[in-house]
Amino acid sequence: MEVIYLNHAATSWPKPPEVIRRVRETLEAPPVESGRGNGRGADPLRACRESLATLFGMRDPSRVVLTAGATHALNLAIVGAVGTLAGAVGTRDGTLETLGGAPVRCVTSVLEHNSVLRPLRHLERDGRLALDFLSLDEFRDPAAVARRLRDGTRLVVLTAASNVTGARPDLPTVAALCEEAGAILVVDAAQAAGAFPLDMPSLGPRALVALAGHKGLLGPAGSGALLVGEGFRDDEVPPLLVGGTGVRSDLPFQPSEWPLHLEAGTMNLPGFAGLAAGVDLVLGEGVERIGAHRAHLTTLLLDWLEEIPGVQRHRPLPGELAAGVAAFNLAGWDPGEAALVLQESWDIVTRGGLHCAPLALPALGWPSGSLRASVGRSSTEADVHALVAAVRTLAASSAAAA
Amino acid sequence: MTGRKDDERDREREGQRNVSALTIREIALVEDCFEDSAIREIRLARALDETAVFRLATIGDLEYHPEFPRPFFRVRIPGGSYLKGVVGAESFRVFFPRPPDAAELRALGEAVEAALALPVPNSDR
Repeated sequence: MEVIYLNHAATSWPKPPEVIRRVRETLEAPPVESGRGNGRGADPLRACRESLATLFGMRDPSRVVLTAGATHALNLAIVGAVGTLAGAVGTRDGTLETLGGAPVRCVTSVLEHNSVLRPLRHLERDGRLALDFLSLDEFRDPAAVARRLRDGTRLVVLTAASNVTGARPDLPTVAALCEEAGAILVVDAAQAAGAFPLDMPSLGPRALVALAGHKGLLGPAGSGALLVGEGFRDDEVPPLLVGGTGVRSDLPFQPSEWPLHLEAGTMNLPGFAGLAAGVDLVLGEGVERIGAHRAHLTTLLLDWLEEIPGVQRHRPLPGELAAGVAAFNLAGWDPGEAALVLQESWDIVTRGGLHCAPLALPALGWPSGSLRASVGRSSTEADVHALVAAVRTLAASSAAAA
Repeated sequence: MTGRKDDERDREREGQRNVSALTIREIALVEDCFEDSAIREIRLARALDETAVFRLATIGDLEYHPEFPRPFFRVRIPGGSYLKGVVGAESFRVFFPRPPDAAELRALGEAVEAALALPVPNSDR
């Protein structure tokens, strides 16, 4: 049987031929000293930075920091923001000297992924952060953020689109509120990038946006980026890693300018070459067009699931359908078991469990998790139809057993 | 002469048994989304066939779905554990009601061994 892949929220697959070709060409070509300006061939890092800057409306590609993924980018953003807000001095050797004082007040949401929650929890455990959570209902309501900002919150960390429900906050409004309050906004755009238009300038000068390269941006795993608002000094986002840069090797400490101070060590050239190809594809086809395709398939999936007895599903708002996720449960089947049967019996790849968002599923009333089917650019109506037919068979079998 | 024929017959029977025998390669931990996973995977030397599934059913209540593209089975065994898998796969999973200790794994292995007429698996995971 042919594999039907409906797990694009985890990672997109199959990768477009253009991405695979660019990765292969980079591996086969003589190595260039990418980013150093002295190579004879194309510079994959520069190309990737410029493509990402174009996609996200940024004037200055040097504020696109290439990372190992969204988790890496979020760690840079959160640690940097907390240090800045606590009055810490980010030093160029990668350490953060805090000046003491009260923990930074931060609001995040119950919909966040562990790539957000765990860095925040670690800082909270160290006494550097006081955490508050927006509930499911508050997540879409900028007034709930405004209330926290009035009460002294100075850091807002939100996903641009939930990887479980697809829910989205009103980011431009939240960004304006943050700017007014002197707060920093950190956005986890791992799921949103490549599915929804996202314009960095609309988020103001004090926003940090984390991207995964391997989901909607169609690149290889191990690639991502941190987009840095123009209002940040380089010492406000200190490095987590320091080391070789290939230039200014006579300096005892990490060079200070963007993005070099955050890109120590040999970079993942094939990965970023592939990501550049993926981003170029998204630019060529248009985020709106890809988003519309994803929204159409998600609508079909949710509508068809609704007709199956025993299916409980979460329905995103119309403007959230491009996230491409459908979370649901099926009476008589544990979500992990249902995912296993779909894969083993039908060769349909979905995902069962908590989806690395451990607060979201209990908040939805599903403490044991859910099944999640997620569509992408390469998904088809036939894929969705095959899943629905399989779920219908599963539902019928559990009804018969009951 | 008679003794030699008996020996040959014994060897033939042994050979047939080896051809049809399913051996457990290992019992492995399967991680899930929770801190202590209660799921283990029994990995076999070759694929399960329908006969093997019905042998597994001797240790519990079988729910069998031949209507699925690859037939699925779920065997509820006393104590609340489940064996789950598909015909044609080289492994199946055990879902315990709580994370099992070494004794529970050994008991499960022995039960499966008895059902499939296999040697006791050499594993404590």
